[in-house]
Amino acid sequence: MIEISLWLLISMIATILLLGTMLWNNLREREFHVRVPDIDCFEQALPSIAGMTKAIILDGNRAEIVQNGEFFTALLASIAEAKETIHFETYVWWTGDICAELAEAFAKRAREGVEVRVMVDAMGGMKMKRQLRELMEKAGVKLVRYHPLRVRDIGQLNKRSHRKIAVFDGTTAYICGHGVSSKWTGNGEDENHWRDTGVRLHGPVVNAVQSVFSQHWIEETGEVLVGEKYFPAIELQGEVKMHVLAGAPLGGVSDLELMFKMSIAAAQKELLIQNPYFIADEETTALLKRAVTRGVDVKIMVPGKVTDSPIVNHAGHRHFSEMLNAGVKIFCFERTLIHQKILIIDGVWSHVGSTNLDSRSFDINEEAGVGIIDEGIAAELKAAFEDDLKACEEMKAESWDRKYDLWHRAIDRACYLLSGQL
Amino acid sequence: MSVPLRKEKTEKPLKPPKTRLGRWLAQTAEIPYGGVIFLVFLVVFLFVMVWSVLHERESHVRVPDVGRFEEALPSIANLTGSPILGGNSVQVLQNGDGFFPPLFEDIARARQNINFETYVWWKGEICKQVAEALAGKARQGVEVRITLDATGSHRGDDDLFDMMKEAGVKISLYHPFRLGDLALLNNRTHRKIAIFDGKVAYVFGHGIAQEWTGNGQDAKHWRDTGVRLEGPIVNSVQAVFAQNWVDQTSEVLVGEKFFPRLAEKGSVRAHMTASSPRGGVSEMELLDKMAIATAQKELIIQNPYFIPDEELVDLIDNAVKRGVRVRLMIPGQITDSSIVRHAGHKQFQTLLEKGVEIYEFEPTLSHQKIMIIDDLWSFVGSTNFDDRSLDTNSEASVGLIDREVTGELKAAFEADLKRCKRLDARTWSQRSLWHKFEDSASYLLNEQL
Repeated sequence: MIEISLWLLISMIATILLLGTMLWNNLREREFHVRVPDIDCFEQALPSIAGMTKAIILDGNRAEIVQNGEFFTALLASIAEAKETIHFETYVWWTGDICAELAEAFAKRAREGVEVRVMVDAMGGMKMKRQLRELMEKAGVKLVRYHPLRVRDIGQLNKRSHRKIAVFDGTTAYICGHGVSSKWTGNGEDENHWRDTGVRLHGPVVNAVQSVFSQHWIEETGEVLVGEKYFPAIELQGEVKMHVLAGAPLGGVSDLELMFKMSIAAAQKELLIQNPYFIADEETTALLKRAVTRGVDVKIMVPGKVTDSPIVNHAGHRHFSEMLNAGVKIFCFERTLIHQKILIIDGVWSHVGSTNLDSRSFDINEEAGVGIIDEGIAAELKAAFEDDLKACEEMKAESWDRKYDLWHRAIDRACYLLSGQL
Repeated sequence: MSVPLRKEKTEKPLKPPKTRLGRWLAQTAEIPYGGVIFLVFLVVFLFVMVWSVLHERESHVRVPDVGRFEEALPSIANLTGSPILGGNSVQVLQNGDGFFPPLFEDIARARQNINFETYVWWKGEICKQVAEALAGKARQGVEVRITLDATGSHRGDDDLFDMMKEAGVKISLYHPFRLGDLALLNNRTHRKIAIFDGKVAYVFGHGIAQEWTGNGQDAKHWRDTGVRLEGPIVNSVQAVFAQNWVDQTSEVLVGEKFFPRLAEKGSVRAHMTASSPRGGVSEMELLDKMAIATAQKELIIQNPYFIPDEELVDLIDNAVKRGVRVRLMIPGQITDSSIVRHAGHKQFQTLLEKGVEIYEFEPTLSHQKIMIIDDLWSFVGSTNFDDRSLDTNSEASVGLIDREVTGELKAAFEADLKRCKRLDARTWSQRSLWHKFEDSASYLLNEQL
């Protein structure tokens, strides 16, 4: 026991309360209830969706969809073809042959004099093998970790970069959902080979992807990318209009949340969602129900038994019953984990990227995605969606409600309580 | 934790506390060692967390040399969050006489919606006129939205705000005092923008107050500059307005009446830069540093609040060494913030010795925030050259790539030069000790200025 003056004790407690309030003040998730008015024509909403998410619709682009492990084939080819600069940012860097293959490809090009910049999230890349890191660094690859553990940045630790992008010579870009791990190789055939989708872009939109890459690069390294080799004047490459979405949380309404909610509110005919982490809050649930009432065909595909995060799955179940009863169609993909983050609306617009439909993607992490205004791309993604449907089991309101016993409900609610961080 | 109290040992305290509270506090409590360690740990832990969240993240930006300023422009625009859009027309608006009449005309012409954001809304005849014009439109059924900074407008006349609200104007106060939002209190919106029907936009430095009327003729009528824009860039200005609007009101602006497809209206290429406080390097800081680092021939800065940090001073120094003519115009005796003026002085000796030309504008407060580079690019808006604008506040300025517009702004700068006093290194170094002391003392606060 120690004798301590009440003065001191009280002032210490007061300091703790004050600091605690300040911290809560800064870190708490600010609630934003977004009110989106209904619109009669989805195309009319597109400039607003781009504008509200601080982007410009850029014309004259070309896009190619890359499915599953095909992504790595394309990526390795682009690495081999790059002339001046290779930029790569990712969240997951785990283990497997593909990690070594990629690291060697980067190292080879760096030795040949190409500027190679690789940014890996410090948390998602924790499992990166030391010899691969050294191999790349020795070859001259600039390898940087996003938000590593530093005492002075402890307050930023929860904020991760979940972006998955690559930019080659400032003229070709990739935006995808894939991580660097053997899980993403193959063709989504079994539990060890996941299903994912990315897109390769050519045209003026690549400038916008480059600026998304530069954000974290400058933040971590201070190096500013100036000049035509990073931001070339890009000639028109095709007919596709696009806008880039890059989540910028902290303080305001998140761009990606806004994009999701606005596009759900604006859909007129058909709304297809594929997402591995789908936790609809009350507002999204209400928007989805309203869409069904408007006559929109709403189909949502989520993981079934194969998931890497059961807690997210359970939290997602929270509003399933309500949605099913309102007429939202929900499908569980059973073959493997579907990891792609796809949104297809009215057959005219689609979104591909890294953003999950949960608070972590909306309010905490940094994300990147692209909105593509093109009927051809939308049709291609829809065909893939329909193909995936074959490996799905549809949830039915009656059987779900029967299965949805008290115990399951309790787990769902408990998980949903954590949804601010999921 | 139980806190057993006991009376203080009565070994003749020098001054026995008089009040009951005083006596109660003078007691001691006996608590376990572990408890004390826990409390101390908690204080330290929370302190580190709060500091880590709040401390200004140091951003030392390295900008490589480029051969031509033109080559840097796409990087500058893209890295600060907005691509360059062609096909715009720009009208430069000088002082109150050049700014308010076209503003009133556009208010009168608006048919569907008016969006207006400002920091300063003080008092005076002009406030009444603006309020009445906006209220009049709202009564006619035009949607009128105003974002007012809660601090910048707290001197404003409540009757006017009430009158506007009654007429149907939607007023959103930016970051008002709320216990849950204490942490946001220091972040203000300093933006000054207006958008009419999504087709015409204004980006300016003017506040809504009597000081901004007139023609910069005397201490009561300030000097300021804005631009009126038409063309594709207006979408970008609307997007900037929409940011703070949706944050504060949750209302999402959707539809062609806000974001119409805009036809080309002229030949000016433009990019809109807006910053808001967030983790990394602010767009405005990056823009200033990149622009200064890539200028090749000439750099002109007109700014009312100029407090460069060491990195900016180095960048300016490098520019001079590259052969860039650097001219800087700041307020003289007439300023509304003498602490900022003094903090700025801290670096003047260095700048003067390096060869920067510094001019003090004498007749009135020069409030415009202008940057002009290589006769090609100019930057107009709300952004001051100090930490508050570069790191803390929400700002909006527009970059214009056009020889004609830049020429017009440069001509105005040259005209202002005639009403300036030039500082020279020798007499500057002989300023009074008291003045030097004020400069150093003010500079200590620079992170908040």
